[in-house]
Amino acid sequence: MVALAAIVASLYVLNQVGLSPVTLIGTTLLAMTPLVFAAVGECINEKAGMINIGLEGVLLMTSFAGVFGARRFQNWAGGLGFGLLVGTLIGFLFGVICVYGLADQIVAGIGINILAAGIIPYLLMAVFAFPGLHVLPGYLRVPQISTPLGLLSPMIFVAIIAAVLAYVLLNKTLLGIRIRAAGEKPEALDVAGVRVDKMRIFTSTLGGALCGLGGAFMSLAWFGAITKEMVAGRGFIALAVVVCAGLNPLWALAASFIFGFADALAITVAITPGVKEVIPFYFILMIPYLVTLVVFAVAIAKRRFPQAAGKPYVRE
Amino acid sequence: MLLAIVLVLSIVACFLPWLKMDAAILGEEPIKRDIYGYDYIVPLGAPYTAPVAILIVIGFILSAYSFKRIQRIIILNVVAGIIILVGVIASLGYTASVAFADVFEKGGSFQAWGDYGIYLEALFGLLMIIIGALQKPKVLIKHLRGLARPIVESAVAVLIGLLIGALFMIASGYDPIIAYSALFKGAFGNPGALAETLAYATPLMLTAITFAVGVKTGLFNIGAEGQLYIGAIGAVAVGGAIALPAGLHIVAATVFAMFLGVLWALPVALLKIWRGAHEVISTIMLNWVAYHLVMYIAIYFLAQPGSAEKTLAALPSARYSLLMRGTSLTIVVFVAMAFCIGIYILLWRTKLGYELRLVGTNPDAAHYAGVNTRRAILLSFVIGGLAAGLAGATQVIGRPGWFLYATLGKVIGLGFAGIGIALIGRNHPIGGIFASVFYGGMLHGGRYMEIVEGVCSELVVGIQGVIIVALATPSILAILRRRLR
Repeated sequence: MVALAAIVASLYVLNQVGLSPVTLIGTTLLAMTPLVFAAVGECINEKAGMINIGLEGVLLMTSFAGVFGARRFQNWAGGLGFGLLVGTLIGFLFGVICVYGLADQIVAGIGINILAAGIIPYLLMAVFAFPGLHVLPGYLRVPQISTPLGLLSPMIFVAIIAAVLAYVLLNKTLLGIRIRAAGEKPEALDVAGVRVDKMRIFTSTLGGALCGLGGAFMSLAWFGAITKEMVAGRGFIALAVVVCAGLNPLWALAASFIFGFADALAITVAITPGVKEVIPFYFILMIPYLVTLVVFAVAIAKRRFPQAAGKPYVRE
Repeated sequence: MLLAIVLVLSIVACFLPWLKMDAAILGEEPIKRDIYGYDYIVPLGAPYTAPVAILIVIGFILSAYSFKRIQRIIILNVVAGIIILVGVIASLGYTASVAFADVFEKGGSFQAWGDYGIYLEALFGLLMIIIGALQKPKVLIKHLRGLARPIVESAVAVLIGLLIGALFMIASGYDPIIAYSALFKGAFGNPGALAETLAYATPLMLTAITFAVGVKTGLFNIGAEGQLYIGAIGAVAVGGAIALPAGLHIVAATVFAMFLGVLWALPVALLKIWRGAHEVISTIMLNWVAYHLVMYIAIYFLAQPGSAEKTLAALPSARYSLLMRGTSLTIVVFVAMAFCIGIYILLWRTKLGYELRLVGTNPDAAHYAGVNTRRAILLSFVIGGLAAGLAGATQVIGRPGWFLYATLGKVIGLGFAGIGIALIGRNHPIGGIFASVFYGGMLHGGRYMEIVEGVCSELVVGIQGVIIVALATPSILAILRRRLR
């Protein structure tokens, strides 16, 4: 409620200053989409007891994969597909490493982030022969559709549908019960005759695939380009979303909206003439991170996590 | 008695090349410039042996605390002896190659060979190994075996990382052999390069402490990046904007940087203690806030008049003095090493350190034993902040240039690199020193790889990511062992 009031208040203030709330909401929806994709995947993942802290890296790698695919197949659908594929692959590998390799999930996730931070500048140089940046021509971007809020990317709706589907999957289906059991009491699931390892690899793969869509969205539908610092902590903001939402995909949607709004606010205010002179640019850029930190610190206390989260399960 | 003699001999051995280097620095000997453009001074063993000297001295101090002191001294002797020998061989080989080049190009003579200090040093190195090995061979072998396992694990992970890096190079059409040989030549191939590698390693061994101490307390403190930015700007503020007396200035700048590092770590610790907020998310958010804040301060308050892309340079009274002309190596490397060793002593030789490690291995047992868990967590973050702040200071007042780019070009990524180094060094402060020299070499040599083969140097960071994933997976080694049998 407080968050909603804050958003409405800031919208009102900005309206007085002369910023259109519609544009801001449009940007919010854009900024929220990668968070939703990453966070929803991570919700499912953490329900099954896997914590993938490498979301930041997956987002960066798949946004590169999206650009690469779009260039390779000469259309945006190919780009999205390739991003999805790479995300799926990384999620699968992470699952295998953690389930069969008994890896420390947090450390492996940090490894993924650092791998991405190094390999993307390298690939940008090796593939596109330009340091740190590659811009896509307009025809390779995901086309926008007309809505009451103006032109919007259809991927935004895909993200919302994904969140709803994830909620249904987790709470209304047998598979969802099994996923939750894999996170709460893997021994019980094993006794019931369901393979915990397969369940966890499945959720990890699914989480990777969704995160891959989010990454491809960032480069193909939002920025229309890839830079090596493009993700800028959004993977970790998505983790904060997951925690604030208490692993519920629908709450994750709401939390993503709040964090996306903070991000959009920074983006919008930073380019508004008149404001730049009053508040230094750098302070505006801090908004998303400070909002995340504060909301995260306030929201965390009541949350409960699956008992076996982050622990490898070994059959006896 | 014998041990005392060995102690004196080993320290003398390590400082022998330095005596002659001092003479050269003071201008009594002509400085020669080598083919890589470094000023080099014959003999060239100095950069190789200086860290060993420090290690030996500290090792002996440590052994006084230790129960099994004899064994420790023996091991130190042998390891130090081996490192000295390697250094001697490397510097002799290099001296020879430079000398040959001189003779062929300029018609000079083989003066470089006429230095007896290096032979004496080699002799001492051998002597140390022999004395150490003769005393209790069985104990020695037992201890080396205990060390072997973590070293082999790290080596396997590093090999996997390099292999995957090579695969990436092949996939994008580069020659990995040329690239890697350029990398290692650029990193360790000559004394100037080695000194530069040590300069790169200096902040890394400190940010590794930040992560390692966190892990020892059961935390994932990945906030070194932001704390390092803040520390660096603190060093600029005190070192560049305030004039203080010579001795005091350098201390003030260093301490202030460390203080700011702690200040930036405190919110994370308090959020963890009060709200149970996971430190990974809060550290990353604060890293980004620090990034923008430091850029703001650098541009609005501490910019160099006339060139806004740089901050003020540290005043001469706040600079750590240079160890080797033409390189970036300053005596701050010893400060960093002393800090690492201090943390080692704190963690393994004091009650406080024992409590920290107990909280890390078993928080319930720690609580039951009456350990104040909150205090342990707070202390762990404070140590991390101190280390990261010092790391920031080393990049400003301990590295020629003596300023910070407004884009933070000199310090970006050093905090995250510390994570991998801590893991390669098995979350041990001393292991971190060796791992940081390895990774500092990769960073420095990566630039040669870029020049020679055109491979983007940031691949090195990617390789580190693979190494981290490999190290996180304990069963890789188990699988390999099974296959080998």
